[in-house]
This record gives sequence, structure tokens and C-alpha cells, in this order.
Amino acid sequence: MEDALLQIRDLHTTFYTRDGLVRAVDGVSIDIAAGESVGIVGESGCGKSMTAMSLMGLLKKPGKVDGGTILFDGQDLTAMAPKDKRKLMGNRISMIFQEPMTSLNPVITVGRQVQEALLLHKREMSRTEAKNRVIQVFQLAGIPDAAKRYQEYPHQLSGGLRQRVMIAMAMVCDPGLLIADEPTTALDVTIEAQILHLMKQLQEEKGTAVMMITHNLGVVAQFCTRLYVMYAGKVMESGTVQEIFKNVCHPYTEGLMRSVPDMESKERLYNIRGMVPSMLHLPKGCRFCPRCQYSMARCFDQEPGLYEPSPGHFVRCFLFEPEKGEEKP
Amino acid sequence: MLKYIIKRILVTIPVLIGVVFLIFVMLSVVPGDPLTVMMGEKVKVDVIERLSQSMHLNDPWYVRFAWYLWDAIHGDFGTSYKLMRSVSSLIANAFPKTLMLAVTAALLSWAIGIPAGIISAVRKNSLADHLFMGFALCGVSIPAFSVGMILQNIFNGILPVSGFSSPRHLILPALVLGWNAAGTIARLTRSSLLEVLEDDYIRTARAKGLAPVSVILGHALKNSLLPVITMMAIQISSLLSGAVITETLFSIPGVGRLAVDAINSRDMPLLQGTVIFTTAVIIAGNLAADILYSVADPRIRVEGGK
Repeated sequence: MEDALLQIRDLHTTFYTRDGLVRAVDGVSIDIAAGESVGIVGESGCGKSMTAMSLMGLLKKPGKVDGGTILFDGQDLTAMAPKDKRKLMGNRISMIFQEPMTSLNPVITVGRQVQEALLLHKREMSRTEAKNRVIQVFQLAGIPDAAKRYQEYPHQLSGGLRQRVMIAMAMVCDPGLLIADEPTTALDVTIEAQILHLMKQLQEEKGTAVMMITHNLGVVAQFCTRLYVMYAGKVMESGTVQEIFKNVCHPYTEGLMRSVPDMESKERLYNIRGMVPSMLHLPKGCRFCPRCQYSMARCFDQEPGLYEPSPGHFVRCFLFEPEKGEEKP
Repeated sequence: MLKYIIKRILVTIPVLIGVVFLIFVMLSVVPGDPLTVMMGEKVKVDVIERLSQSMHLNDPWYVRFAWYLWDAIHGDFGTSYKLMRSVSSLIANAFPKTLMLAVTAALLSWAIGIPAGIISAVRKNSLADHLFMGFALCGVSIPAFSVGMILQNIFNGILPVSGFSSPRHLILPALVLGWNAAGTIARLTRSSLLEVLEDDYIRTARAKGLAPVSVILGHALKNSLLPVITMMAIQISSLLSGAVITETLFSIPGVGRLAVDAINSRDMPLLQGTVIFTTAVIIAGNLAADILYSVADPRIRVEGGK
């Protein structure tokens, strides 16, 4: 994709632990066009959050980006001075986190926490202007009594309201890219639907691109146009949501889809056998093969490349290697 | 808020009465005759009889306790057996010296302890961190009497090592007390700040694009100082109630010295007076800590107001 807003190329993020190197993100490439919403899906520990943290420069020690490029608007974030990068963060790129209960500072009013981002990035704005703008964004984010809520502390707000405050904080500078790291995981289902609806609405109004990190395929189906499935630090399958849901290729994606509960079915819920491998002791060959029901001998010692069974649809699995061309059983 | 404070003050009254009672009983059990302390051994029998009568010494302990409590409510804590002056005036005389020493030591310890703790947390495991924490550990673990004597030895001839007649006399004892307090404060600030820096809202603040200095001063510090405020209040109240060892070592006529002298001469009214004074100061310190805490932490403020 040439007109991509965000172009992650061959990103490597490694944690230098005492027990050895943990390659949390291992050669990931992701493209997001302006205004597009892209889902990153996978189990816990697959590297989806770490990809976002690498992008935002929020990695905790001993984690380090040690390879690849992250181009945002043509600028390489990995090569940027921290000072210049901070000018983008919270301004052109912003992020919503999974835990609304703990992601706000308990001793500062929510209004001031949102206003802070505005005063930091829009220097020309006066305090009063900034305050009015925050109240306006609170209203956009569906916070009732916005002017009153402005001076309340996080503990006075419910989880759903706090997540709306986080969204307001992320949207207040009209970013080009919003990273949402499991924004609804900690919320109950009705609030989840409201929050997703709000994000969709804001995204359409402002034309913001969204990177939606989730383990919930339902959220992806509802929210995203394209999808990356990650497993053990690698992208396993990518393509449009329509294509992947219609024509799922990778055994792992297939397993994820079959693990979604179905109200009509009386059958026992499917689960992918085995566990996510320890990142310290990754299997040789394909990382998914010990859990894969289609695994072949070669899967255990060779790593599959990315193959393209249909245009724009990429799969990291030998079953889709062109010359073999065989259909899966 | 006002209601909360009044409630807290009312609660302290039974605590104070209980403390007075305990001290009274304990000191009544201690052997020793106050009249011997006052007059020496060669006193006429009729004088002893007359004085015992007027001082209620022949009454049972509960009657004497009632008398004591009654007088105490009226601000009279008795007369020192040894010094023959009222206990209240003795404490009122000694307290300003203790106050000056306590305030100097406390300001010294905060001015050094808090920044040292912040630097140690931010530059964890750096040379500065090890240096500060080494000093803090010494301050916390070396007892005041040895620090005091070492300083007296080193600075003998440069600074006054005993007495209390000029501000210069304050320097060494304030250093002894301040070093200890600063050590505690620095260690607490460091560990608390390190904990807060791991919190999710720090990640949010960084994601906003704030510079590391703004993240620490604007977002982490206020949260990390909450336990430190409590520690500061406890420290200042213990300093205000008289630093027994330091005051004795440097011959400072403060409340702590008064208590030591009272013990040495079995001067029960004076000892009772100083212990009750200490209790009152510590209770006031805890109250101040609670109030400050609720000012700093909005989560407590709301619950207290309800």
C-alpha cells in the first residue's frame, strides 16, 4: 500500500531478560491507510499489544525495538529523537488502554487530565479555550453533564464513563491514528456496544484511522475493514475482514473463529488445543504447528513464508504454498 | 470536612483520659517516697504528716487519680517534687527549645530526604541512587547517641557541642535528628515513587506526549507523596514531644531532657506531665496527618465528607 498513513515494516521488538531473549514482536509488517480501521487479533501474549507499545515508544525495560521501521506520515518513528516523537504522541497518534479503572490519575480531575494534552500540543490555545474545547469533546464522547464532570475525579466516574474520558483524551487533538488496545475488554457487554458505537461515530466524523487491538472477533467484524491475525509475535494471516470471514485460510484463524460461542448451537464450544508457547522456547519451524490439527512433518522444522491465496489475502502456512497448491483436508 | 475534624478531635478525649489513667497507675506502683525526694532523709515526722495530708498522699490511688484528673482539667498538672515549680510552667519553658530543634530538623530532613528519594527512584541503581540510599541507611540505622557523639568529636572546636544559647548551637543536634528523619523520608519516597511509576496512569501520561520530567513532577509525585505525608506527620510529632537522647547528649533544656531528669529524680508529677504532653502532641500529629492526607487525596476527601 503506497498511500499508507502507517507503515510498519519488519518490526522486531525484543525483551532482553535474564533467561534469554524474548522476541515479542518478530518481523511484523502492518499497513494502515488514512481513515481506515484495522483489527489486530490474537490470544494473550501474541505480541499485539507490544506492537502498539513499540509504536508509541511505551515499551518497558528490558524491552527494545531492535529492527524494522515504523513510518508514520513518511517519518520513521524508530529513528526519531524522543523530543520530536513526543510532539506526535497524544497529538497525531493517540492511544486508548484496556484498563479504564486505573488508566486515569486518581488525584487530578479528569477535565485537567484531558486539557493537559491540549495545552501541551496546541500552544496557541488559552486555558479557557482549552477548557471549553474539553467540555465540547466530553459532550461528543457522550459524557452527560460534561461541565460538571470536567471537575470530577476519576473515582467518581463509572468504568464506562472513564473509558469515554480516555476516548475524549485520545481524540481531543484530532489525531490521524488512534490505537485502541482492547478498549472494551474490561467493560460489560452493553457498555462495550456503546463504546464501540461511539468510536465508530467519532472515527467516521473525524476521519481518524484506528488500529483496534482485540481478541474478540465480534468486535473486528463490527468495527474493522481489514484484519491481521497474530500468533507468537508473527502475523499469521491478513486481509480484508470480508475475505477472511468468508474464506478463512490459516488453521489458527479458523480455530479462533470456531472458538466464538454460538447461541444456536447445542454443541460443546470448540477450543484450540494446547497453550500459547513460551516465548523463550519457541518451537522450531511453524510456531503454531504443535497445536495445529493439519500439521505436517515439514511444519516442525521449516518456517512457512507468507503466501497469497487470493489478492490481498496473505497466509503464513504451508497449506497455501503456491506450487503445492493442495487444498486443506 | 469541618464535621470530620470535630469528630476526630472528640475521639481523642477518651484516648487522652485512658493514657493519663495508665501512666498514673504505672507510676503509683513504682516504689519510692516522694517526700524523701523532696526533703532528703532528715525530716520531722509532723512535717511528713502535714505534707502527706495536703498532697493527698495517704488517700487510695483512685481518689488521688480523681484529684489529679480534676486538677488536670483545670490546667494544673501538679508541682514538681524536685524543682518545686508547677509542671505546666516547666513544660512551657522547655517546649520552645524542643520546638526550634524539631522544626529545624524536620525542615532539614524534608529538604534533603524528598529530593534524594526522587532522584534515587528516577535514576534507579545509578551511582547517585546507591550514594543516597547508603547515607539514608546509615541515618536510619546508626543510633542517635553514636551519631551525636561522632559529630561532637569531629566538630569539637568548630561548632558548639553542648548547650542552647545561639542558633549555632542548633546545627549539630538538628543534623543528628535530621539525618535520621531524612533517611526514612528518602527511602519511603523512593520506594513509593518507584511503585507509582509502574501504574497505568503513568503510561497514559507518557502516551499523551509529556516529557519525562512533567510525568514525574506532574503525575507521579503527588501520588507517591501520600504515604510520605503520613510519615512526615509521625516524625514531626515525635520530634516535638522531645528528642530524649539528642537533647540529653547536647544538654538542650527541652521537653526530652525534662523527662529524663524527672525519671532520674523520681519526680512523678513532672514525669506524668511530660508523658501526657507527649501523648497529646502525637495525637495532634496524627490528626494533622489525616487532615493533610484527605486534602491531598480526593478519594478520601469524598468519603470523609459523606
